[in-house]
Amino acid sequence: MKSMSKTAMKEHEFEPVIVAFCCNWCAYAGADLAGTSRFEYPANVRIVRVMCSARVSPIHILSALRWGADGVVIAGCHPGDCHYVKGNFAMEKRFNFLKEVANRLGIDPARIRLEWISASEGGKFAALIRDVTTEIKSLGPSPLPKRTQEIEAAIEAYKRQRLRWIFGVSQTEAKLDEEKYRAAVDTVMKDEIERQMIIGAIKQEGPLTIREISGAINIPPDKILRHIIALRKTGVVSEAGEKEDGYLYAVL
Amino acid sequence: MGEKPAVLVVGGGVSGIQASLDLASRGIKVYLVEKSPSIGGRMAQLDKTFPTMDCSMCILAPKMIECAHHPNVQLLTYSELREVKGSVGNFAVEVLKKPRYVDETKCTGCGICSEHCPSEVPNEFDMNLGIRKAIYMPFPQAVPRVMTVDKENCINCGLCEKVCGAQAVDLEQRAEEIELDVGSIILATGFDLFDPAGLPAYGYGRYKDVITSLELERLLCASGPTGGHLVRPSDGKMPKSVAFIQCVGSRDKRLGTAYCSSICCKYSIKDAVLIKEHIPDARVNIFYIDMRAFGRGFQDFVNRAKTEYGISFIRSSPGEITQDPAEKNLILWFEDIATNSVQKLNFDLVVLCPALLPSKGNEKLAELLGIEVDKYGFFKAPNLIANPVDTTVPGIFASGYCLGPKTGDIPDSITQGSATAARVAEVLAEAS
Amino acid sequence: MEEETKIGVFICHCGVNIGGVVDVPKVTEYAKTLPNVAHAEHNLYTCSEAGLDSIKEAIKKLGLNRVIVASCTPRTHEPLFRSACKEAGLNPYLFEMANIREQCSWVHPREPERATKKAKDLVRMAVGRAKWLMPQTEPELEVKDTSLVIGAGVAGMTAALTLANQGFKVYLIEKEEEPGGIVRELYKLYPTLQDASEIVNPLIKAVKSHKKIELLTSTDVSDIGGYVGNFEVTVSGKKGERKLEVGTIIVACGALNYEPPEGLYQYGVFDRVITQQQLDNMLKKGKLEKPDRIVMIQCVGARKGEIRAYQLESFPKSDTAELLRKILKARKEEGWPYCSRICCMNAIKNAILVKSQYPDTDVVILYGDLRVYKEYEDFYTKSRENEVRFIRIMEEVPAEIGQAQGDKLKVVAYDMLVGQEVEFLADWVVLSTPLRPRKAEVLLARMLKVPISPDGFLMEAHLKLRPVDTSVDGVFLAGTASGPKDVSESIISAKAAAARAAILMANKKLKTEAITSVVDEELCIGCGLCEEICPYGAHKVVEGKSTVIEALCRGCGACSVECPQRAISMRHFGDQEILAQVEALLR
Repeated sequence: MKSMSKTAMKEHEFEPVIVAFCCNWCAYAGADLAGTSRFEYPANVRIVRVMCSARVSPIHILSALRWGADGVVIAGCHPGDCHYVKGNFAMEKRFNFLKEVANRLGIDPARIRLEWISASEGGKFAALIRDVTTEIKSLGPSPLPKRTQEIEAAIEAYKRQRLRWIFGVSQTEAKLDEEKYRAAVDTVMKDEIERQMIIGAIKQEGPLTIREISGAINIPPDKILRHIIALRKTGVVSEAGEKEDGYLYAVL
Repeated sequence: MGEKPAVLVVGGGVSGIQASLDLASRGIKVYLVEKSPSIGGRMAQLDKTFPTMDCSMCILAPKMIECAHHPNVQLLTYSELREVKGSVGNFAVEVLKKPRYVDETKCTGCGICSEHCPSEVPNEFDMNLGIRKAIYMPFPQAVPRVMTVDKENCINCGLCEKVCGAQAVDLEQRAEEIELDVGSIILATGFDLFDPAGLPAYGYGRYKDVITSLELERLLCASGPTGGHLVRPSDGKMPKSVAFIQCVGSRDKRLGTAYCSSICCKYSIKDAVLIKEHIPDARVNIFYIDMRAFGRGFQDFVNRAKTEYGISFIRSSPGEITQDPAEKNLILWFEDIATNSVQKLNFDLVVLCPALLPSKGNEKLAELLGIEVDKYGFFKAPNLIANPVDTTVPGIFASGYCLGPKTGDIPDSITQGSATAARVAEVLAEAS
Repeated sequence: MEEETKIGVFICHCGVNIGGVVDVPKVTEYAKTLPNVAHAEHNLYTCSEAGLDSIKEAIKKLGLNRVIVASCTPRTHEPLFRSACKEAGLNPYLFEMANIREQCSWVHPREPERATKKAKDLVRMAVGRAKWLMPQTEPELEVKDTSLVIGAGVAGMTAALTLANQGFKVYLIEKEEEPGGIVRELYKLYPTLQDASEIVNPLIKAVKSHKKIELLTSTDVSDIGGYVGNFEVTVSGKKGERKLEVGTIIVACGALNYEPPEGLYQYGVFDRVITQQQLDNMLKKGKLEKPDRIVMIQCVGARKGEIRAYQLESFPKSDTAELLRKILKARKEEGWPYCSRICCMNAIKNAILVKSQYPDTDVVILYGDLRVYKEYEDFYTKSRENEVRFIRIMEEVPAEIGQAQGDKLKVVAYDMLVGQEVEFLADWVVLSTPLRPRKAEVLLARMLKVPISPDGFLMEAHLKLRPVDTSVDGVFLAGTASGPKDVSESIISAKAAAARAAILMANKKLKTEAITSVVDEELCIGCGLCEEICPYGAHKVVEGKSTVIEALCRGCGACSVECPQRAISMRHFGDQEILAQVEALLR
């Protein structure tokens, strides 16, 4: 390494790409203020403007990771100050679930951050970007392509009504039994992601037997069977022939 | 008595523009009279504004354009108020529209005429540091976006008329006398700078590198004569040492300007920071008596100037500026209060922050309208506290620096512009 | 048949603001290579008339159906460019901006290469999004012609009267029993030296008798809902709760005098250390007995923890260590970091009042920077003519107060002009303290969704250009609620706030942004999650399907993310628009 020139060293230095979803009224304004105050920060972040942090869906966040972002930041108004009353609280609840999903997928949850920046906190915005850039640098490049399958599965799971409803109901005033609810969330999260991974594997390789699916995505065959039964019922998969000692399943 | 009366606004700076927009937005017709070819005033001449360091023209341009396009605003630029009769609710006003020798309805502002015009003239918008032609647009973002012929410097060669694709040049154009009926009048005529030639010890006029703050703004501004590159007027060199002298002609009883101009301390810090941004290794010193950076956000600004930009503040009122005959740089002599001795420092460039005086036309306007001025020549309010934007004649209001240094800075000018709009609305409601 | 997307990209140099860091021509060339881009050019100032004309020309001549401007922040300039598009016949919602100034050139000034790459990325993101933009029409809101003014001090009363005089109905609420605010307690005002009552009493009289003003004293705001044109405010007073429906709100809740903590300059320890407000009170009630000397100290609890604007090096080296120690001690004290603007004048006014009552009394004012701006300089001169003494001290070395004989106090300070410590015997030590924001203001700010600026006051929409507006449409600021001001300045700002509010109410209608939610009835199962989650009640499930009340929707998008069926989309900020930006960036 001693013989490497300084420029060569720089070229090898990993510069993360960080997508930041910023709410128009607070975080985006804070970023603007960082600009007018000339607070410098690393050029790694690309801001996507939304009206409220509530608008940011886990699908957006996961898609960013799926397409290669090394880190994702969501920045909104401080609790209690949301321009739309409580949008940031909705985001916060979603975010907590998303962190769990990330864990399950083997993605370091530190890659996704939720921060509160007010319109007058230009300095804080700059400091945040510096901090996030340093952290992501230390984590290294994005979890792709190792985790591609998992992330794609999670995105698809988030599009399914079951997962959306179970997360969504926590945003209402419904009187949920805490323990039961948590258990339900755990089950649904696990189920939906695993099912999407099954579908993903079949789409990639063509019709597969249960054993083959188990080998491809590393889930015990008995669980696969349970999922296949459920997916058959909703008309997502069906038999498409035989192979050795198992049926082939195809995605309809 | 169905239709609401119109309003006359005299002065197209940011204050007059704000008043016009606030009135126009609620359906009141406004005639905005401006004596120069374009609206924009002083704010259009600035590079950046303190303490946010916004690009001045960037934040002003949308308002200027809104004025130009608003159906309720009629711009009468290159025009002056000639006569006023009547009283509140019913003023009969005569406005003289000076001939610009260009048909406003045809001119596209393309500028070909200017390129060909042989006659070069110092550009007043650039504080005479830049050049314009006899047929010109004062600055690239001018509103209205049309050319004007300065007949005094025009040699009548007719070339502009020949090259104009839109046939907009009309060298036979005559002045127009426009008569208007308005219910109320707002004055927003701004300020002029004290001419530092009145203080010979500072060498303004004698030494090219002693300039005023407005001249500095034009040098720093990307649309200015040097494209935003700060150079010394004498030899085009990049100045490595700059001094700011505060209170030039201010707080001075002998000169009749015993007041504090309110904004010079603030803008000098801003300009000092801008200079450091342009030339990071320059030595910048601000010579001041009291650092009047009052209000929110400014103490922070002072601190940043000192710690982040390394600008040094010297509490002293310099006595004299001389020039080194050999090196040609400037020598500033000042009293060092701490050591009680006279010191001197070399500078490549000295910026004087002169007192802000009432606009030159104020006296005549006051006479025309029958309103009182205070002892400094600013328009007088009947009670500084209770009726701060009124004048001594009912139905006539004033806002911005023509009211005097009570106007701290741009937000104050804008607030006052809105306040006069409110007063006009009240008065028009009463009258109907 | 789908129309071909033709995007025009206009990249601004903004003088040297962008062009000085980002290689604008290079970015322009790059833009030309992006999909669906039919035209790309760069301008010196895209927001100038020339720039706007360029855009309009290009739309008409080239049949552009999407326009992108890469320049400054859309938060200031989007309306301008949208208008230009509209004038050229293009729906204003087919316009998109890339922020390559505030969020690029201004924050990466020393990395032109990376800034240029970032600018290219941001343009590519905008181009990606532009394809998915759809034309939109803006919903129209009704604006009620009633206003709520919170706080009946000088500013609140002025705002209320200005509006009422134009024929608008005003609810003026005041939490105290009597209107008048802080100014009512004052003795005389500068620079006219007239009685405060001369200003306040006519206002109170007018406000109580005006037909269009309903004054509600002992009343406070407990809840604010709704939005511009249709605010629903719950106030509670002596007669219980009441719901008010108003079109605009003016916040004039004022500020308080900072009370020094116990021990600061021995305040609370010695009886004879008082604030300017207390001195004012004594003068008003005629309770000041002839003192030999009064010493006033400026900037108490203000501008704390800051470096002063002078060179520390210009002092004799031998004292430096001692001074440094005192400096560090000074920094530990509590206080507000801004300059409160009015205290210098206030002190001088009180000094003049004391001198006019007792010409022989020695009045000494200890200060660091004397901020006597505008024509108040005359006032300053007058005070010096009356032999008020001004002594410039070094503020890092705060004056020390000790007990002397009898009731007298000993004041020790470092006189900068003389270059040494000076001592005074004083009958009273008067502390000039800043105006500080009220704690209640924070609660009000929360209810209104108005941000608080770093110094604790309510924040204006734009420090330079919109000093009395807030970022919440229909809510305006008057008086000291947005920062310290004197009475004249408060009155001016109140009139300005009234002018701004009047525009909305005079026009009776207001067009709002077309960012509203849309329900796909086929997908909707009527689960009601959207109805529960919407903070504005814009969703209502009717006959098993969710419906949107457009006038109520503010465009936050919470419903669209939570809908289990993905049946709700947001106009202008749909999933496709957002994902297209991310995809364009990363793929």
